[in-house]
Amino acid sequence: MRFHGWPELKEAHISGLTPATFMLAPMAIALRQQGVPVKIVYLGHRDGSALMVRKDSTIYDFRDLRGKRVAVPNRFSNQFLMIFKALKDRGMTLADIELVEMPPPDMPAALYAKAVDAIISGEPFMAQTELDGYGRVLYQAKELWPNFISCVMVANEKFIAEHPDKVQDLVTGIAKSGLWLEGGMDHRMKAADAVAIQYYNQNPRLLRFVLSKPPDRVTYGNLRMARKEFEYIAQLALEAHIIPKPIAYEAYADPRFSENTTGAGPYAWEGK
Amino acid sequence: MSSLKKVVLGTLMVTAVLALTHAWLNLGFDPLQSVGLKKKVVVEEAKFRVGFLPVT
Repeated sequence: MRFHGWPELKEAHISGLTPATFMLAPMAIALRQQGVPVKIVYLGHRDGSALMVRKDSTIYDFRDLRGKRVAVPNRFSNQFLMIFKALKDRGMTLADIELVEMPPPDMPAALYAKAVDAIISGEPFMAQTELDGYGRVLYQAKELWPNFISCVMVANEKFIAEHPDKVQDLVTGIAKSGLWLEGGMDHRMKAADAVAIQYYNQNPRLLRFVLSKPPDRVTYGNLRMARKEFEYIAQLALEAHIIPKPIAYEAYADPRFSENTTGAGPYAWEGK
Repeated sequence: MSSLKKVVLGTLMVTAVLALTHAWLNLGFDPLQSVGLKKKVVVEEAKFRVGFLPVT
C-alpha cells in the first residue's frame, strides 16, 4: 500500500491497516518508546539519500548552510539525524540552520521555487532535481554517514506473534531481492523498470538514474540487523531530543528473522 | 388437535424458520452444506498489507 507522507504511513500502521511497513528508523524507535507495539525486523536499503542544493547555489560546503533553510522529510527521519550529525561533526548546532519538515515528493518543487536552500530525503526525489537540470548533489549520504540506514521494515508485535512465518517470508524475500539487485547493473535496470511502473508510478528513467549514477548511490547487499548501528541512531535521536530517554535495542528490535536469512541466495527472477 | 396445540406448534415452526434464516444470512451457516448437498469452500487466507513510500 503506497503512501505519500510519513505521518499517514505511521497512522495506517498504528491502526492495524498495514501490519508490516517500511518506516524511518528513528520513527520506529520513537513509536516503540511511546508504547506502540512495533519491532524493527530488517533494513530496507542502505545509503540512498542525498543533500541537494540548486545548481546555481553558492553553497559548496556543509558550513555554507549556516543560516540557510533546509528541508527534511520528518523530525523522526534519519535524514534529520544525518543533518544533526553533520552539524555536530563540524562544531555546529541545529540553531545554525533553519529546518523545515516537508513530504519528500514536494521537495523538488520547493528547491526549484527557491522556497528552501537545500533538501535531503531518500531517493528518487533528490535525483529528480538532477535529471530536471536544476539540482546539484552537495553530499551523497555515504559522505556524511557511511553505511547510512534510512528505511527499515517494521512489524506489529501481535502480527509477529501470530504470523512469524509471514514475517520470515517477508524478511527473506527482502534479503533475496537485495542480493539479486547487487547481481549486476542489468538487474538494477530491470528492477527500475518493474518497480517504477508497477509500484512507484514514476518514470522508469528516474529509477534507472538512481540505481546507476553512481552504482552505489543505493545499496541492498547488507540489510541485516546491526545492533551497534541502531544503538548509534538511538543515541543521536536522544541527543537531538526526538526521543526523551534512552531505549534498549531489545525494546525496538527483533533480529530473529534477520538471523534466519543467513545463507539466503539471490532470487532467480530475470525480470519481464 | 386443539387450537392451543396448533398455536404452540405454529409458534415453534415460525421461530425455527426465523432462527435458520438468521443463521444463514448473518452467521455463515449454510443449510445445503449441513445436509451434504454442497461442498465446503476453503477460504483463501487473507493477504496482509505492507506500507511503503515511493522512496528507495
